[in-house]
Amino acid sequence: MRKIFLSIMLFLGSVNVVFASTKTYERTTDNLRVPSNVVVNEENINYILNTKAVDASEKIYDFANILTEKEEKKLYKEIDSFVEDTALDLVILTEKDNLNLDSANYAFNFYDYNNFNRNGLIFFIHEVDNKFNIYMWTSGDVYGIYTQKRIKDILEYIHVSFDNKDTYKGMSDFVKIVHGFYIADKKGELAKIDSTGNVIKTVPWFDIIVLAVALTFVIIFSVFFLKKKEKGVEKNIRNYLNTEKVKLEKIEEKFLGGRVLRENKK
Amino acid sequence: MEENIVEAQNNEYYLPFNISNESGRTIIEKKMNFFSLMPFSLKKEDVYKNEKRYFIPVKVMDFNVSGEVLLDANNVLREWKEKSEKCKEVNSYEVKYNCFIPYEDVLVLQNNYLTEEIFSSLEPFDVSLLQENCEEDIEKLDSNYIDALSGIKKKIFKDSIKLIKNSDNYSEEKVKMHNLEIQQIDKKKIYLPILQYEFKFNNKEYIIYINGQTGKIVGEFPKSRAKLIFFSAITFIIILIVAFLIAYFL
Repeated sequence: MRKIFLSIMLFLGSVNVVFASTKTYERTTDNLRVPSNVVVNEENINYILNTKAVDASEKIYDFANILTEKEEKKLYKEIDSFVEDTALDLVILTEKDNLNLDSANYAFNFYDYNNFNRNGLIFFIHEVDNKFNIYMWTSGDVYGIYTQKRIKDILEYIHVSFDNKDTYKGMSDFVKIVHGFYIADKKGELAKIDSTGNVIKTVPWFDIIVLAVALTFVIIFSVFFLKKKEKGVEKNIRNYLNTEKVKLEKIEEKFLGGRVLRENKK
Repeated sequence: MEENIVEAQNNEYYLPFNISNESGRTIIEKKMNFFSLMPFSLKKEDVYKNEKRYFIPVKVMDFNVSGEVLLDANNVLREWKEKSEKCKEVNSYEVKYNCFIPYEDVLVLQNNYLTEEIFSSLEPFDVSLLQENCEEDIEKLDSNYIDALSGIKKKIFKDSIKLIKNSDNYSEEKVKMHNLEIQQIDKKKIYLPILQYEFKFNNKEYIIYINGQTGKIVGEFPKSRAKLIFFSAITFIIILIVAFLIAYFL
């Protein structure tokens, strides 16, 4: 009984502990393994068949074998925390050397033809000749949070780690930063990445300066240069009108008739 | 034309209004404070260099406009468009009025020393406070006085017609004919107290006028660029700090 119990516990434990792997599944014309929203046609079927089919719950697909097992486990926990907090998907994909497509389409196909959440991010690391080329793309409605500028800033920050071959740090920082931007966006704050890789609140200096200049001009002009025009006698004789003593008496009102007047608009 | 104006020197002339010898100076001193744009190097003594007090003789008169007016009046009931035509349904009336429209304490002067713009900017004067002490024969004093009087009468006439036309709720009115008379009543002859200061600053001449009764100043003082930059900078910095605090903490 005890042995059965232990076996069941081990089994359940192993099912819950899902961490990254490079396991792929075969796609066939009978079983393409694409999400239900993908429309298969003559144009895309070959791309689908040539795209690796993976378990979407794994999140980290280290085909270039950049990370150690320990690093993958740690990174998976970080991604899991992000996914739980944001309801977005986050995929890290690494590949080495030549691909059958350009980087962008390779990554898009990988994301689109596997069962990932419609809204999410993919971080693609392509190792070529021992150098890492890093890319980030978004899927779905997240472009409002991850704008072109933010993507540029993120990649600029983390490429230093990849240049120094500290790949785990680069990926971990990536997850931390995208999470930070998500939180800032939900609070309605403007944010930027500081020197330590944290996402911090920022102040819209340009907008503030423009506002300050405009307001300064208005205030200085109103206070020192705006002159109130006074109405003098020559301009308005009504200054001397005694309205209390004015008498206007209607003696007669003769109704002449009603008529329609027409005026040509041209 | 300056011979028509009585120039007061110190206290030699009777001052028929509430102004002390120093009040004009006090008014200017108040204006020349740190928070004005006047240059620090502009000294009060420079401003007082050519102080002159002018008492300008004027007649104070009442005018009564009275008589009959006949108007063509229309009430527009509705408007609409028909293809390329704008249409109006209108009820027309002929309206007769009896009128009495009084204008009181009108200042009539014609003086070439002060321009119309400066004089009207110095107004108003409270003529009830100004004692009648002008014994000049103003019509003979200034040959343009008659033109000034007829000019005033024309303006009063126009103003009265406007008043009549706007007096009822008709949409449109036109004066068809009128039999109106203007009655003019002399009230008194007074001197208007106006102070003048002339000064030079950085080779540019400036003239300031002060209403001796109310203290109102007309004319331009020199403006300091350095002060303008200073105040602009302070304002800018304060707004910047406030905007930053709002953006950061809210």
